[in-house]
Amino acid sequence: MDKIKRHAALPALAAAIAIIVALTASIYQAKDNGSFEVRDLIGSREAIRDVVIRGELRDGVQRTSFRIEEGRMRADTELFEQPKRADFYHYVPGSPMRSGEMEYFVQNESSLHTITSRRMTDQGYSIPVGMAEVVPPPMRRDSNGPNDGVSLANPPEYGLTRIGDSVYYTVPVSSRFIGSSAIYELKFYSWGFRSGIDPQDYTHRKLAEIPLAANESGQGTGIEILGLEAVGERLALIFAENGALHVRSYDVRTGESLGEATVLEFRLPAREGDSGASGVASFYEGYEAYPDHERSTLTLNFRRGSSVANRIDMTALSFGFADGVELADRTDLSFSDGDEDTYSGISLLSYRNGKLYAIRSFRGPETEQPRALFDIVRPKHLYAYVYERSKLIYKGEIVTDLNEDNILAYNQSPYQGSFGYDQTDYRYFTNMAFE
Amino acid sequence: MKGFYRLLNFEFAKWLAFIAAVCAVAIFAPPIMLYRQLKHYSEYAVNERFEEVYASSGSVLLFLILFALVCAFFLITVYADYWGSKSVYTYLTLPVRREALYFSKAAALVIGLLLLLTAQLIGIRLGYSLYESKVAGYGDGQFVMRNGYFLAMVRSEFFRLLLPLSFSRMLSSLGLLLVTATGLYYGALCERSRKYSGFVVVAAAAWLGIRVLGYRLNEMSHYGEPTGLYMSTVLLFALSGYFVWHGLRLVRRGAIA
Repeated sequence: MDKIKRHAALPALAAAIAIIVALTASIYQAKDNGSFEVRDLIGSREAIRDVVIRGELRDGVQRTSFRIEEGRMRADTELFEQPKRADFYHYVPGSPMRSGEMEYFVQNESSLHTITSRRMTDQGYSIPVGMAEVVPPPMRRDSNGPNDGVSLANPPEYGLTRIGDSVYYTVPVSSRFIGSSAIYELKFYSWGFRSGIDPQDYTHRKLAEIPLAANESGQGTGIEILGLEAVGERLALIFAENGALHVRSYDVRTGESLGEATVLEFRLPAREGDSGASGVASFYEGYEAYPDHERSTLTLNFRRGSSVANRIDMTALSFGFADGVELADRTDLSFSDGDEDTYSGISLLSYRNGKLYAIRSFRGPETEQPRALFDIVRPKHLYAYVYERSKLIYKGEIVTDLNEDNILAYNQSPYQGSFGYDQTDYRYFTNMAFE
Repeated sequence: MKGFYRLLNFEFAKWLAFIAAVCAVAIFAPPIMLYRQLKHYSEYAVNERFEEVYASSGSVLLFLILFALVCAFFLITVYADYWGSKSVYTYLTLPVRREALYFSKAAALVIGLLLLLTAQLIGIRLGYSLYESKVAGYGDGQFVMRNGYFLAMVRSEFFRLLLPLSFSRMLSSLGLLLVTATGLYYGALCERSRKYSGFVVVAAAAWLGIRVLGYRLNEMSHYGEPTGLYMSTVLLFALSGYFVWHGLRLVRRGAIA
C-alpha cells in the first residue's frame, strides 16, 4: 500500500490521459459506422453504372458526403467544428429563385411586378442588392366573367431565369392577358434608392416579344405562358396554346427564335373554353425544370391528375437544345411509393444517353410505422429510378440510418400538443446531383 | 526533479482515497440514476434520446457537484497546512526548490480533475450500454439507434464540452480546465499571502470562463456567428499563465507563510 502511495501520481495521470485519448479516437472513428448502401429493388445495378450520383446526408452537427460511382457507394462523414443551421431549400410558391449565391424574389402587385435580388450569406439570411420593376400586359375586361383580380398561369418566379450575370423575366400570363408580353433582360437599380433614380435609365432590354392575340377573343384556351428556363446560352419559353405544350428556344444575345418543339395532348386543368375531351388527364401547371447545361437538355416534369389513390403520376418531357428544340423523350412516371415529402424532399431528373434517371424521396404511408403519429416523422425513403424508352428498368433505394432519428417522436400523440422539430436534430438529404 | 517527484506523490497520496471515492461515484451513480429514469420506458412510451435521458436523470448536476467537491478538497489540502501543526513552515524549509512546492500541489489538482473527467466519460459509456439494452428489450428493437453512442456524443452540447472532437473545441475545454485549476490555487495563495488585489484577476477569469462555458453549452443557438473560440481560448491560457507565474512568485517569496 505504501509502495503504491509513493508512486501513484504519474501512472494515474497516464491512465487518465490514455483513456481519454482512446475514447476520443474510438468515437471519432465511429463517425463512419452509420449504414449507407444502395439496395436494388427492381432490375440490375448495371443501369446506374454510367451515371454518378452525389449528395449529402446531414444534420446540424455532421455531414456525410456520398458518391455512387459505377454502382458503388462511397460515404465520408465530417464533423462540424460548430453546429450549423439546416440549409436545405424547398420550393413553395413565393419562394425565391436561387442561382449561385443570389436569390430573386418576385412580388406580384397586380399592375406591377417587383423583382428583388438578394445576396445570400452563410448565416442564413440574405441581403437585398437590387430591384427591378416590370409592368405586365393588360388584362381582358370580361363584362360577364368574374372579376377576380390577377390570375397568372404560374407563380411569378416561374418566369425568372438567369444566364451568367443577366437575369431574364417574362410574366407567366394566363389567357386573360391581351396585347403582347415580352421577355426582358432586367436592369436592376440599387435597392432602397427608388426615389433617386430616373426610370428612363432602367428600362429593361426587350429580348423578344410574345403576341397574345390568341387571348383577345376569350374563346378557346388561348395562350398561357408557364415559365422561362435557361439551357446553356439559350432561353426556353414554355407556353401552352391550343391544347399543346410549346417550348421555344431564344438566343440570349439577339433574342431571335431558334426553334420550337410541340407536345400534343397537353391539357391544363379546368380551363374555360376547353373542349373537354374526357379521359385525357390534365397536367398541373407547376412543373419542375431540370436543365442540363453540358448536354443542352431540358427536362420538364409535370404532375398529372391521378385516378388512383396514393399514386403520384407525372410526365417527364426531355428536350434537346443542340439544334433548335426537339422533344427527345416523353416518359410517363407513376409512383406508388408513398406521399410526397413536402418538407425536405428530394426530386431530381436527368435525361442522358437515351435513359431517364430520377431520384425522388417519399414519406412512407401511415402503416409503415404506426408509432409515428405526426406526418413529419414518418419514415422517409430515397429511391433512384432509371427509365429507358418509357419503361422502368431499375429501381433502387439509398438506405441510411436517417429514420432512426424519428425514434424520439414515436408514441408522441398530437392530442398532447405539438413537439419541436428542428432539422438540426434530424438528418436530411441535401445537395444531391447527377454528375 | 527527485524532490519534485517525491513531493508530487506525497501530495497525490493525500488525494488517493478521496479521488477513488469520487471516481467510483462518477462511474456508477449515473447508470443507477439512468435506471430510475428508464424504469417507465416501454414500447408505448415516448423514448427520448440517450443524451436527453442522461440530462434529465440529474447526471449533469452530479458532475457539477463532484467537480465542486474536488475543488473543495483541493482547498482543504491547501489550508490544512495552516491548521494544527502548521506544516507550511516545514514545507518552506524543505531542501527542494520552491517551484516544486507549487507544481506538486497544482499537478495533484489537475490529475484529480482529469481522473474525474475520465470517470465521468466511463460512466457515460456505461450509461449508454444500460440505455441501449433497455430499449432493445421491446418493440422488436425498433427503438434502438444503430450508431447511437456516437450520435449522442456529437449531438449533446454537454458531451461535446467534456469530450470535444474538433481541435478548436479541445483547446477551449483544455483552457477552461487549466484556468479553473490555476485560478483556484491562485485565489488560495492570494488569500494566504494577503495580496487581495489578486482576486480581481480571479474574478475576471471566472467571468470569462462562465461566458465560454455558457457559449459551449448553447452552441446550437449561435450558428449565426461561427467562431473558432480562439480569442477566448488564448485569453484563458494567458490568464492561466499569469496565475502560474504570480503564484510561483508568491510561493518563492515565502509570502504565503
